[in-house]
Amino acid sequence: MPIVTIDGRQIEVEPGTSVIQAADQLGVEIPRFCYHPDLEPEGNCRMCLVEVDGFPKPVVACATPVVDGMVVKTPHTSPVASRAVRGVLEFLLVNHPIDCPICDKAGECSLQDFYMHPDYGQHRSHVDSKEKVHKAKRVDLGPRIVLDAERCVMCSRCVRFSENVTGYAELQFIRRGNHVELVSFEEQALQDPYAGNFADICPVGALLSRDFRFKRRVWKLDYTSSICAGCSTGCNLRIDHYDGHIERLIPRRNPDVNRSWLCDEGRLSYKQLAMAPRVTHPEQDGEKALWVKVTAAADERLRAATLGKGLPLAALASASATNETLWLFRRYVEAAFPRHLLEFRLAQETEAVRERQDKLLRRIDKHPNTMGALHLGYTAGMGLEGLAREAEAGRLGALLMLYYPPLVGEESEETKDRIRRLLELAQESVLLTTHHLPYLAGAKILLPVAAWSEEEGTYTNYRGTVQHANGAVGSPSAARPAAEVLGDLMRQATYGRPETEPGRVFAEIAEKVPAFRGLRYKELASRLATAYPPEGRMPYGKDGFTGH
Amino acid sequence: MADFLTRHTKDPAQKKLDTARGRGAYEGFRRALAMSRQEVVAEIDASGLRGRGGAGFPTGRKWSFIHAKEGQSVYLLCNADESEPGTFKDHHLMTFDPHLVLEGVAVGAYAIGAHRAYIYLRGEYASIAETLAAALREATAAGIIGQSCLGSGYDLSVGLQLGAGAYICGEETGLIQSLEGKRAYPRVRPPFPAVHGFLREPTVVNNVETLACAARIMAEGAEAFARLGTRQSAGTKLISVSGAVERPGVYEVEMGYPLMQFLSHEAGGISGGRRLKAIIPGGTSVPVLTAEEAAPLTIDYESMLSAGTMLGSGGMIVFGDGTSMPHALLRIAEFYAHESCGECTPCREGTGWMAWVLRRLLAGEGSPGDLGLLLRVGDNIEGRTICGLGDASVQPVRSFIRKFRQEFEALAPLPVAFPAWQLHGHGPRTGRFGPPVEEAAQSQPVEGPPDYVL
Amino acid sequence: MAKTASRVIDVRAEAERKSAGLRSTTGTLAGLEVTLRNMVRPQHVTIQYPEQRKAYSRRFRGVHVLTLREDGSLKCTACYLCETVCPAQCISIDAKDVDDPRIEKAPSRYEIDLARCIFCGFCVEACPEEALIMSREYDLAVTARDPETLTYGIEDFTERPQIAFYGAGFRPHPEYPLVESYVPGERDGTPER
Repeated sequence: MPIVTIDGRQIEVEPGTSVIQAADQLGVEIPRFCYHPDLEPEGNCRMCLVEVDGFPKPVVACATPVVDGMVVKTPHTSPVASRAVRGVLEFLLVNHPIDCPICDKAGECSLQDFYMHPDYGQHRSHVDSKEKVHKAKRVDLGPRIVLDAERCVMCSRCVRFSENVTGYAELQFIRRGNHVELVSFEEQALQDPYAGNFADICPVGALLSRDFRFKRRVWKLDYTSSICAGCSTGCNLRIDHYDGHIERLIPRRNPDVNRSWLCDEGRLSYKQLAMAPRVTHPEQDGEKALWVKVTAAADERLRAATLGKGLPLAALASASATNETLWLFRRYVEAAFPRHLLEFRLAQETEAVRERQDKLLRRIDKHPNTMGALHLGYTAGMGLEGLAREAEAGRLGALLMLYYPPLVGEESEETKDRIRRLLELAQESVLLTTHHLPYLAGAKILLPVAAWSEEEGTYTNYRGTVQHANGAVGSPSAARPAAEVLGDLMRQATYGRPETEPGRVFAEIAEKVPAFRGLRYKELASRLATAYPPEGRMPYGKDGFTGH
Repeated sequence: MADFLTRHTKDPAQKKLDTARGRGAYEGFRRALAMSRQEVVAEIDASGLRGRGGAGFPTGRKWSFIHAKEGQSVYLLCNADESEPGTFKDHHLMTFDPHLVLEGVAVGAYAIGAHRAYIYLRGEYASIAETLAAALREATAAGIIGQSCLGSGYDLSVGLQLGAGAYICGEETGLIQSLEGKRAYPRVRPPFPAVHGFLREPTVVNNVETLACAARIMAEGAEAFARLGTRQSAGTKLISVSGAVERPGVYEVEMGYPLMQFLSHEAGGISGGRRLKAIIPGGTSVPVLTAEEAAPLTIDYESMLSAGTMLGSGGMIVFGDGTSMPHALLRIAEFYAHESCGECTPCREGTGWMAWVLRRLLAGEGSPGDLGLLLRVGDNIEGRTICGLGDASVQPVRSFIRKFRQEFEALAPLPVAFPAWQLHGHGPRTGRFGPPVEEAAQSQPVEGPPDYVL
Repeated sequence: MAKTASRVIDVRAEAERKSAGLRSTTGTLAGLEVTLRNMVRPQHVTIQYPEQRKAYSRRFRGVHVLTLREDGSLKCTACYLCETVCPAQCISIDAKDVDDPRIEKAPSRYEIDLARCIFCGFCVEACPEEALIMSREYDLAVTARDPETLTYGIEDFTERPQIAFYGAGFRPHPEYPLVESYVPGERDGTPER
């Protein structure tokens, strides 16, 4: 394999690796606009010029494959490369509006970062603002994206993403020379269901997320790594939040799962968390209750309705719960109720977990942890309809249900009806849920639990990859992570004293469940996929990738 | 005056296949078909033919780079996007002897093993498209091009594609992109077109004149071509001369022909009885020559190179006494600013910037240091772009300013080296970039920072 | 340390040595003199606030003012620089789109919690547009304790009559004229009652 020397440091890389990839592996920063690890190199921004021994002039690191014995000098060490990069940066700023104070990208803008960098910055400008080329501003590109063509550096990342990744090919340049301008096809709104990625891959403030625009300056944000709960793909994402409010979700790069992308539905899934009022306090028969009393009552009433009458307990868990929650749920049910029906699917979409919705990321199954539930021994069972029949026939003692409303899309009317009917028919019912929803109103005891963005845990995606998510924001009022609630229920009647801390629960799972064997929670939590642009350039040195 | 290529171009009937064949058209192709591909390439190599589009790369070597793998198709593209300012030689050839061009395409395609060839014609040459299409129809009907060319068993189909009038489509990879139906953004090399060209297949792109030469070489033998011209620049060259001459037009001269003799005899001397001031020998993308520099030169690659310029495409632009060089340069700079495709940063922003500074200078709003700025911008473009357009745009700017410095300095004084008062922050208020105008005018330009040395 | 000077003089010790004898008496007398002078020259050092008010410097850092453009719209572009720089974190802003295509955004909400504000003037210095300046208004006594009382919004910073009454205070570039319409009813001079 070829060995390449970059800035005096050697690295052995795969044949066919480009210089910039080798530098990224080494951790040597090479400035770039058009290069993106998940797009084909284009070599048009000329920002990654490096000096290579034996070449008469600087070459672009993104499109130059390494050969054995190559000696590369980046702008950090080579005056030739530094002069070239400074020249390019100066050119980029000739017609740039330099309106950082009102630009939403400020703080995470490559152009800004490079300008401030001592090795690339060109601290002068010879052009007055009135002499600049003016282009379209605030162009409406549909519900996701707003374009400011003046800020564009013509790197064509968006054009290539649109053409080669999603295939919608809705963006292109028009005109020539310094009048080149990015436009959408026939200046129409973007149809792309992955349009939100344009704002992520745009290295400057040209393509901005309409959702995040003007919301918060990025240096105010806190970052938490998490996993998308929108479908069974399990895209790696970062929750950007401020003051306990989620401001946006952006993808983290994971070449094995989602590369650098995230679908728009997943990106906006955090908005679903505000779709209905949250359950803030435990409720018992429609009255607010205290946790200490309500857990005891729940356990007692469930047992009275089942063990006392010799009837089984129907235990329904959601495939949106974490592995840890599902594990504790199962342990509680198995320990406390000798006769039980343990199920997890609300509708009977048994085979949907692996089915694709499109060719990129989205899948039909809108639960993040269906595979985990299967691995943990949950079955599809008789389903809601079957349980309702059992209840109607008086063959069901009580119902214990853990329910998270879907973050992408909505539960079908049919499923809602079935849930409503089951809750009505059940003599006794305990519901652990996050939101007050009309079809959940029939529950006798309501226990508020933390939603997806509020709890830590692991999810198993459609391929069986176990991934770790952090809790980003706090739960409202008295809501608690479901794992803790289940732990309390177990302690109630001394079915055991289970660990509820996710790391310890996971250790237990890894010990007992074959699919999890050999996995270590700490490794999962630290194996956080990297984000792009390269980390370490977070505003104010914030490191969003260590989690919270 | 040589007539290797233009022997029959004066006769309008040459466009007709019968007339042309009567004069030996397609005999070269017939001869090539009788030989193996390698022999054709060797023959062209032996003739010493160099690319006539501007770069002067040996054609035989270019063809020998093609190594098609199993299942790959090879393409020959004829670059008829003649858009270099001052160049109209291919126009002449295609208008008056289309069959010679077609024969050249056929020879080239055979030599590299291509079964498909395209002629990429400049958008403004719509009238030629008809001529070429008619010639192509005739040749196809006569069985010269098509299935089993001239009964040899070699298949060739030739397509004709009209561009939309962009300079960048004359650039090899830009042309390929345009032909693929994409925006004519040049591609980063490597990979070169010989490996990844049209439709990602091995491709050769040749100039019209080059292919015409190849056809004639096959007809007359490499010897006949190599005999003409100088040792390193074999054959003849079409020169399209324009500007301040009495008889502008296309002339074919043998390589090594004295430049001054060409101007006074063929071109009829400088118009209006004026004196020669400057000459751009090979299209605007090559450095300009002053009259003194041009005097001893001959028309061939090495002689031009020795004077620091290039023969280029042979688009000669002549400036007579009294021409304002800054105005001429502005025109050229505006051309490049207008034609920069906008793909890579230095060219996109730099060409526009240079044109804008020149416009400012000529409007009388220049500042001292603008000339230095022009040169510095040029340095930042050169060698940092994807294709040659960036470098091409710098050549005229740099050579005009260096060689006609007084004219430019009359517009804006050059920056002097930093006077002490400027370092210490005392002294009179300055303009934006330098000392007050009066002071700069009095001071002698000294050896400034390295970038600004003229 | 190499000896370079022939003699080192400790200036302070020298002065103390010289004045030591006299200080005990002259110091006391000097103090007495001030006291006596003020005793025999009666003057008011206090004023009858709030009926009487002191004139403050034009650099006084009082309650903020949001300046306006000629057409009466806010100059503020909602760049959040003031919010970013504020050490007390008392500024909060929401931005909105505006119809004018030349203007990227404008604040839909601009609030400063004056109960938390320390009147350091950083926000005014950070403002790239002179959209935020300070006035000479200083009396902020309120009778209610709820946090809303001293949280001022856009209307409070542009339309309160006190702005005209106290006039403009600190702004980083006083050398440029303050256009009359920037500050509604801005009058020169200091209010005196």
